[in-house]
Amino acid sequence: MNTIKRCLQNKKFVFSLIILLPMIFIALFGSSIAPHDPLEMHTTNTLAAASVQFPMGTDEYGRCIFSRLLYGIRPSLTVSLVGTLGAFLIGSFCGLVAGYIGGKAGNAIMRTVETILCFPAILLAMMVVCLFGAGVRNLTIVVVILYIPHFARIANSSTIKVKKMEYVENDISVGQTTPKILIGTIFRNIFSPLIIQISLTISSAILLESGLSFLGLGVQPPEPSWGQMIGDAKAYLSVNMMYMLWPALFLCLTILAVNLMGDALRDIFDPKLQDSF
Amino acid sequence: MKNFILRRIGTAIVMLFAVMTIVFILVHMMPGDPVLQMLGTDTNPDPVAVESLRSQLGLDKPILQQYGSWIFGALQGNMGQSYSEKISVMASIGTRLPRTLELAFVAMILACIIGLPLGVLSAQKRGKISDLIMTTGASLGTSIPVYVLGYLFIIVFSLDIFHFGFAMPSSGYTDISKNAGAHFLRLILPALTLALGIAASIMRMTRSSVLEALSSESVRALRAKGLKEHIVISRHVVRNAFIPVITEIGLQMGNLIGGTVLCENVFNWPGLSTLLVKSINARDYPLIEGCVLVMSAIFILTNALVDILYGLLDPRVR
Amino acid sequence: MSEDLLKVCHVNKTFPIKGGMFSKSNGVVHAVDDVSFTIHKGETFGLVGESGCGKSTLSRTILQLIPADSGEVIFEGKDLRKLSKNDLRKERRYMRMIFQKPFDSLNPRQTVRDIIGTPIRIHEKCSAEEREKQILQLMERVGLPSAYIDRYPHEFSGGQRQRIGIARALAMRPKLIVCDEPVSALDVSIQAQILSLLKALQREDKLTYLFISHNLSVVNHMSDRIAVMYLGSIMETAEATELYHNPLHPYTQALLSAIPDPSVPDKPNRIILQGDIPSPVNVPQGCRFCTRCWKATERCSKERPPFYHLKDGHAVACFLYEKEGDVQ
Repeated sequence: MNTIKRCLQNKKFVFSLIILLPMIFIALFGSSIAPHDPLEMHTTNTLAAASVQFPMGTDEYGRCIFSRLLYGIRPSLTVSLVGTLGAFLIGSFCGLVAGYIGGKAGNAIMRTVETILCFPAILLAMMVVCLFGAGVRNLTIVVVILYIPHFARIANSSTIKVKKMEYVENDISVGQTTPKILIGTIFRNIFSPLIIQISLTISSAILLESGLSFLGLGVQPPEPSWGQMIGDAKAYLSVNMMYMLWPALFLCLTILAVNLMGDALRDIFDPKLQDSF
Repeated sequence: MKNFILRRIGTAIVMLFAVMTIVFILVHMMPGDPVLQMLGTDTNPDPVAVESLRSQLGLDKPILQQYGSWIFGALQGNMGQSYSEKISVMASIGTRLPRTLELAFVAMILACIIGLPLGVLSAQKRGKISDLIMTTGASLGTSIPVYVLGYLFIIVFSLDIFHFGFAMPSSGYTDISKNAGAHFLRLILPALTLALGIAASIMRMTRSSVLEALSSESVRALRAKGLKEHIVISRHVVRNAFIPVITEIGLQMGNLIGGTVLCENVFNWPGLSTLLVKSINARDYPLIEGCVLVMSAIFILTNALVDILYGLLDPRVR
Repeated sequence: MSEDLLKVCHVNKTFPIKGGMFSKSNGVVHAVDDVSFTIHKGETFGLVGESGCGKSTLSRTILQLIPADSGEVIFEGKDLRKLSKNDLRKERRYMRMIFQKPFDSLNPRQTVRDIIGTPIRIHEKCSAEEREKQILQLMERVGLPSAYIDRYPHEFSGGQRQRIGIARALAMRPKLIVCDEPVSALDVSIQAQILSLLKALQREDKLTYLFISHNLSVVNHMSDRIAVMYLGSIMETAEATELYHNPLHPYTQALLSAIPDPSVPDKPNRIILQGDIPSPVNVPQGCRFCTRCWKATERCSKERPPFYHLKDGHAVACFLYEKEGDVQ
């Protein structure tokens, strides 16, 4: 359609897609490409440099870094994508309903949702991890909880603006049922800022998950995750720098691509901001 | 105006209570019995010792009473004894907090010093190569996780791979009273690491709001009047563009706290965040509660201050 | 005597003004203050007044988009305020609205097909082909090429968008159409086209219009009867020609004297009102107009004049005509 054409014409969008598509490919098919089992320890060959057998060398347990790298993207992508989707659905719904109802009830809903914002993200994440334990499932739940208010806020303020539009008044005057008005009319018109927030959230979620894994509070060993690998590698910086640098490079590239995609979406969906990079 | 400030402070106080309640609930839902943990890993602890320790800690009282006494205590600055460190929570936090604050404060100042002028500059040079370089740099800055940047600095400056001839200290801490020089030397890398990511965000926001102000009607009118360009920029553009930038700085406060958690870990800066991580690993409930409470309180307070500042600058917000 | 299609009786609507989180209500805005009038079947009833006098609020109260505080809105004998939600929804089929802003009144994410088709889909069970046939018919009637059925609002000009809005209002054969400043946002040449379209459609379908505008000449051109509104109250009601040639209320006289007339170079007796419009919050205790009226007496500022009904359906809310008319 029209939107897809506009997306493909945007340079940033295409560029970020060039980076993201291989990443998604790795996430889906990494297990077929990886030369070794990421958990298999070759104890005779620890902290080896790159070789034909181990394209990126081995870690302190003798595991193939390359294979771990390929598997390591999965937790990050799972947590960020599924978590963002959950936050988007729940948050947008809350904001939409709160904005439409308005008045004291709407205010009350928004205030409740916004209590989550009292906490700096990583603190809340750490506490939840402490309480329920780490792992991909819990991290996903944390992401959902943390980012609900962001979507709710945007949905709420956009709904309040759109609610006043005459085409919504017309829908009411014609006798349209409220759910159809909410989802059919209003939601379709508040979608743009929400899309932009989706990309921002995915990027923040990747940063959060990798940061937690780095601290040892995220994805638990032996399951690999890029942040975790960086955390493990820090003790061996002087021995084998590439152990840290490979996952760092891939992590930065992925986040850069997602951010770039977010910028591209902002260009496409909000022409007023076209001048900011 | 006064109404607005009072309202904002009121909101902050409500949020603080919400945080205290949530922290209390979460911590008391944690699995594992702190009493057993404190007594050691005995699988068959002496029941008398368990009971006496439990009542000593006040853990046998009804939950609401524990909540009440904790709130009262916290407000007076008494958050109990740390299980693992054998000193009061306040004392523990007290030593560490200034270090984290120092790191965060210096990082924020550096971020503004770097980000604001670069933002204005790149807006002025919009479209040229220098602008492209700066904006790409900003993009990178927001994409590199704090700890990766930290280790990059360490690799370059501490491991001396480029053979600069000197190696920056990459960790440790020297008290300022003992050796100010060494203290600041150890502060530079962590502060810079923390600052760069935030500087990148500030730069982007400054650039876009300056661009918007430059093309606004009021500036066009001023130019038509014949005002010199540099006066137009320094007096009018900056003032109008400043407001969204303040919002952005306020939003970055949250990133700052998250950043210190990671940054202190990378550089072994013995601040509040490292204490928090340690206490989580040790299941030291009072210490966890204390750290999270103090950090959240600072977060809420700075947000309130930024909002009030925003309200002072932009009358529409009130 | 044609029957009454719509009867508005003593409708009131106020909006509270909030002063902030911790302060109490600071007063109310009397947007609609004890308004009563009747619209006959098949006529165009004009409602004219300055911006902010409450015309739009009144129209939305009539259509039950905003709940009135008190009063009755009787449509074909049924009080709309007392109907259940489902019954009201059924009645909505027969009352439609044409809005002022051509772009804001159309959903930017819907095609013409969806915009015009939605009312049909809600009130009638028919197949997609049947619906398309009706949509195309409506488009033809308002002068839109049928090829445009799958286009989006932003692809049309202002006048065309208003035509889409009119086609949408005509779907499901309504009885009453409220036209809320339908041409105010259009260029003058387009205004004439839309107005003649509205007149033609009224003749063909025997529609009843409530025509709202701040432009007296437009209202005069379109309406059979006119009501003049000021600060939430009706000041005068009369047949269009009668109002034009014999305005009784001082406010109406001032309005009429301000209409530019190219045939007269310097209009004599141009009445320029002194003073500003009082804010709808601090309404004068007596007659709404007394602060600007050059014929005001002491009594006008203390008492509110009732509606005096004179002959031929001419009614005025002014003490000057106390002796000539009866209060009903």
